[in-house]
Amino acid sequence: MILTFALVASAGALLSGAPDPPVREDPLGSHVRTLAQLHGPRAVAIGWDGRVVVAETGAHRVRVFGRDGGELLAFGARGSAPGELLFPSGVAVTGTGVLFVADTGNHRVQVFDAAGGFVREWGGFGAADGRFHTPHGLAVRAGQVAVADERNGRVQVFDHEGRHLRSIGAGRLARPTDVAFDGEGRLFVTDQDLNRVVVFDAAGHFLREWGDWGWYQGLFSTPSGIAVANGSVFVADLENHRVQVFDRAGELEYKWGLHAIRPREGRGMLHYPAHLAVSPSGDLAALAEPFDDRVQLFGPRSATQDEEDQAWRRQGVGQPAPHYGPDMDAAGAYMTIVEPESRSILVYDMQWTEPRLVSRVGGYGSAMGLFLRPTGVFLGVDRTLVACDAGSRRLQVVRLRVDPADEVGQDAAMPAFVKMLDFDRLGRRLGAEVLEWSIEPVAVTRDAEGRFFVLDGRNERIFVFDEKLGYERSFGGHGTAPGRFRAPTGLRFSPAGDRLYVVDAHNRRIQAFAPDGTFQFAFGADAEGRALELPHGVAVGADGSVFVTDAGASRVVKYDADGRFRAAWGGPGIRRLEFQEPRSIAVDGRGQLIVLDHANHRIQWMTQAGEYLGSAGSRLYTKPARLPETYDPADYEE
Amino acid sequence: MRPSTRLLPLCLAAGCAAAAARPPVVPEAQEELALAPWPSDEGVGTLSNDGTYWVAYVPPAGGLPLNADFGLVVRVFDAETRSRAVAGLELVVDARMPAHGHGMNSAAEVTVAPDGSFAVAGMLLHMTGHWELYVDITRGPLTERAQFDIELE
Repeated sequence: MILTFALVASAGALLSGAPDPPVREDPLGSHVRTLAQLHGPRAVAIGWDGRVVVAETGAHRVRVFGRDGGELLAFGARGSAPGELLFPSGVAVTGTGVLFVADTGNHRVQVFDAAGGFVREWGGFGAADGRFHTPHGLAVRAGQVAVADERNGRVQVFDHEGRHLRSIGAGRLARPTDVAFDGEGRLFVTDQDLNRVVVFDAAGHFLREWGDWGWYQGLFSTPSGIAVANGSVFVADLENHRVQVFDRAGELEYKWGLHAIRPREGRGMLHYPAHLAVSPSGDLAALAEPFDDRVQLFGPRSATQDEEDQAWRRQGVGQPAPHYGPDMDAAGAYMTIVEPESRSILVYDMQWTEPRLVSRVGGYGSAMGLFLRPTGVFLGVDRTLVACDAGSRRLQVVRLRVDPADEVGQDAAMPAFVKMLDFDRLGRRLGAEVLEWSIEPVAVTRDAEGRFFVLDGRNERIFVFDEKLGYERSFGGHGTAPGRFRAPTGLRFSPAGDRLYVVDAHNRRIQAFAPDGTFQFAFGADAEGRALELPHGVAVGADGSVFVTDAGASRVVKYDADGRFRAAWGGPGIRRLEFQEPRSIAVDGRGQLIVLDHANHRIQWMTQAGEYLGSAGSRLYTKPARLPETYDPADYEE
Repeated sequence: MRPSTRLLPLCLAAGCAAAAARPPVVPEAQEELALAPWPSDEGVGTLSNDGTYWVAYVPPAGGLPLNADFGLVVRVFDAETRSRAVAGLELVVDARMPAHGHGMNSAAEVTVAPDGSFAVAGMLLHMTGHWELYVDITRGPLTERAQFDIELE
């Protein structure tokens, strides 16, 4: 690459020159131990007796550990029957050990006794009070349970029997992902897309909010978890790789956490802390880090911690590189990749032995030309880029003013924003249809006539717009029947344009449609009949071969145009042709298959038969792929 | 491999993006349409980036100043006639230096004049160099951009 953009949140904070806040006398932040070899844990809770409850999201189960790290209990399995779970992403525990689990993929709350026995469930997919759309964090207090109802943009409060008491924050919250009670029953909510903490009183009235996007202290980049203990508010600041601790008025008390530089580096170094819990006594914190399949436990901070942190920094191990994902595309001589931290899209020239970064599109913001949470991208051979912004619920069309015959070089003025479709302004009435939610675009593709096919993560439908972005029709909807979706994530046309392949993630399948939306067939098994674990991206080769990334199994699966299994390669890891949560996949103008190896902070490209050709991204992550002879497993142990 | 010869700095600083993220000024909707045909010898005009509108602006007398507040008059016509004004528009006007990764230090305010043109106040180009002037035209759920290249010396 020509240049590595070291846009690093934690480094930015360190370089800001802003003085650190005075540290409390009893701060947390000293690494105690790591609970390792978990599968994508995305939520954690700590009981009164110090036991640590982990929602092992990728394994569809809950595990309970003692304070010494010994496993006490495990329950749950993939499914939708009572007691079964689908990507659970929230957990809370009462003083008597009763467990409340946000069964995110099944859009419900389940309750288990202290021995893991199923007690009850409530909820289901929907927007009405008492129903959920992608429930995440939970909190319990005094006979109540609060649920961050993410895609409904609200918090719902129930009694422990599941009776709905009130809904909070509708119209004020954009994307609530976690919730915590304080001792007076006030609710503290992380609003991930707007990068803030919002506080409501016990009756649900708005009290205050604080935060904004950034990496200076007191700011957030995708705050994902929240806990209140000992009068302090702890926030897992996901993309800043740190924990920030505030008083209940929003004044910063202290923070801890430094970005892990080396792959899998732990022992207190943080890497995308997605959730946190603090013990009721305030002497133990647990941080869930799904990319590294672990939960780290922290106790009171030692007197020498600051010096140790600074000593670590002086080791000069370098800066982390850009983080790739969740989506990418390639066409002709160019490749575009979403860079989530900077809310921008990177443009690479692919005519060389290595991809060369030639421009950057967007940045954080709400004006045209900026993004709150860019998700899906489509790149046409005419170098028209289409970008979904799920955060602001808009589609933006960008012309890349570059010619493959040009002398290669970086050109900041390359992107020219052409037009933008605002789905909130479009409204929920489209023709004869009235939508349950306004459209949240998560992926997009175009047909040969220039129509836009927009995949909507809320209504779980595909909306078709003409080349002027006028609405034409839609198809799909939530469900398991043929032609319906659960958590769809990607879509691409066949080269002839006669078939649209859609990734139907939670139904573990790829569905094929005619361009008019008529369901044709579904597929997703391998040679042994095993289903996809969590498909995410899809690409189609010139001969019609269909390539799917299975993020849950960290592999690539190849099918023919009719969905017959042809090959699979990969597996979790960091070596050549191994992946960690691969997301998007694309075929470039030279026919190379490019895999966005998301949690490994790199891309790998290969032949369509799965033969390795190269990799690019963070140096320490690409080294095991580029130089496999230097690989030593000990270098990648926590 | 071809050598890389154009290495322009892109925005690396958080402050650039954060400044660009300020809330846009909400403009007034255009209600009255009494625009006279555009006099071709006045101001600067361009097609919007998707070809829907012909957009023109009149700079202040003496041209665009360096590091001083100024205003513009902006008019929006349909692309076909370049003289027929379009109803029901909202405008946001901004400027940015792509090579430096930052925008203006101020937020422009847009108001609708009685003749249907738009008065833009609070523009400030604080550096010499290449600026892109953006006129973002919103009608219903769709926004289309017209942009002008400005070399400020």
